[in-house]
Amino acid sequence: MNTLFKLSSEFARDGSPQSDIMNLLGRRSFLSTLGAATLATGVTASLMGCGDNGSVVLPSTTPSVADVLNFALNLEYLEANFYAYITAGAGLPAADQGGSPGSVSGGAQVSFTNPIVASVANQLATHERQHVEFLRSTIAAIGGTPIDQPTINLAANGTVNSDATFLAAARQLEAVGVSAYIGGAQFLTSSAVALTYAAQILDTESQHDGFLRELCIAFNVTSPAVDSQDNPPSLSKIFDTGSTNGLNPVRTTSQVLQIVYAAVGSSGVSKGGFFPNGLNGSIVVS
Amino acid sequence: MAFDRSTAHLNRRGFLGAMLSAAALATVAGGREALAQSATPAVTDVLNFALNLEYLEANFYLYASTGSGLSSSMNGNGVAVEGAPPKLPLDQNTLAVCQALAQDEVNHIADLQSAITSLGGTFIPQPLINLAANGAITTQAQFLAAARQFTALGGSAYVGSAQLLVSNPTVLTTAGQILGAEGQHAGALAYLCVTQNVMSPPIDAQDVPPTSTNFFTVDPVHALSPARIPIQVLGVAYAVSTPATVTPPAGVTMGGFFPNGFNGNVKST
Repeated sequence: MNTLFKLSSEFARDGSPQSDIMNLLGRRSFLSTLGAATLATGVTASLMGCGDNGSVVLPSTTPSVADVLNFALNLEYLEANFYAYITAGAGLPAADQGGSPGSVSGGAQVSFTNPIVASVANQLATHERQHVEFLRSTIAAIGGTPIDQPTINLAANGTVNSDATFLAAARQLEAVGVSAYIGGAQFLTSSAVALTYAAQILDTESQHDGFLRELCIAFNVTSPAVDSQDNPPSLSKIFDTGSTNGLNPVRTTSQVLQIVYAAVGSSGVSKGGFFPNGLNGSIVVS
Repeated sequence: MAFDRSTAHLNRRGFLGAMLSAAALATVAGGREALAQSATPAVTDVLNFALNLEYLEANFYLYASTGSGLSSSMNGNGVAVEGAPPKLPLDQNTLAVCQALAQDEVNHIADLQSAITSLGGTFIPQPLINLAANGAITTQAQFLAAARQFTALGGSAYVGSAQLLVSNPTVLTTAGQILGAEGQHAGALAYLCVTQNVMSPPIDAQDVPPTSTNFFTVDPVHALSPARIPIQVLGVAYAVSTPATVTPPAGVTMGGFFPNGFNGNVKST
């Protein structure tokens, strides 16, 4: 039993409601809870994922806290390398990559025209490298093993070589990242510490998203929708929120994987797109 | 609330930015046991806590963009707003953002009200709000400075309250979706502040206002955005926190933007 789970169990014995809800509630009762809540009717379906025929697709098992943080770490590796190559022409420091890292291809330094675009790229490069480092240390601290950097193809959606192509791609990556942290929150309820950290990273990613959306609008850059939930930025759609509920999209791990594997609409896919060999960790199939 | 205060103290000392160690986690655990011995607010209490902030934000953006506030049907037949700005002379981009903010915040009010009702609770009516608590707002620069502060406070309140929603994954997810919206708002407002050279003062010691070289409200070591627990949120909302405040004085129940305090069960620092 790792440190955090041990602490969490002790905490639960104190009678706190902040116990491991996923263990207290079986899958069946968890679903009943979801079904009983009339709040955000559309959320339930999107939370669990929908098959092509509209049937609800359930994750086969509930992932551990470390599994969820490692899933996020894959996405942070993608983002961190994206910004690192664009700003410096090189990837992450070796110390951040793990013992047997995958290679990163398709990235190159961009000569930016606009100083604010250049500055935001540099700031995001720092933030995402910090998120990689923070997730690695957090996963280790809770007794897990941080994944190595997966093999990444930064040019999966085409080459980034200008202010506009940078903004279009960065906006997409941040939107996917935000929605992945939202979707992962329900699997972090056994650890108040990990949940709070994830929420802090979520907020950071959504600040990035909001800033990039304004830049896309200001420079008239089209950043195409990554899937049917996405709301690309425009003067009439400043925020990626539902027009009738003000909610940011939430994506299941399957929905996230379909996007980063360039296989939107296909379940059962294990690699492709930005991750030619798939994600590392235990959540790898869309 | 020993946990709250010890966490805030550790946070100020850079704990959250430090490499996690077993010893540090044990320190947190000691505090969490202390929290377990005090009352943990119900999910509906937490949502009503957030609803106070959404009433504040929605009214601000509505008044600034239209000259009118929330309808009584939307604010639970609550109390009229004091110190509301007139419709402000905003440029096209700033007005578009303000209108989008207003739409999202009105939607968040409906989300929270329906969630509270569906859980068998009673949503609070709008409390007395004084939008001029930090001075009358009449210019675009003043609007941006205040909006940046409100949004930073709102986002961090959702971050800090996530741990209080773990008993209901559906509500937790919805709160995460609202947080994603609030973070986007903060990013857009940071863009407007930076490009218009507006300095939005820090609301407490955790705040990191946008500057020309540092656009985002995150800590410099790990790029984590602030998490404010309820007493820290209330300290700012009641205007008893200063830029140096980590933990506001205890026992404050009203003041600042909420002259009669929050409505609901979570209202005292």
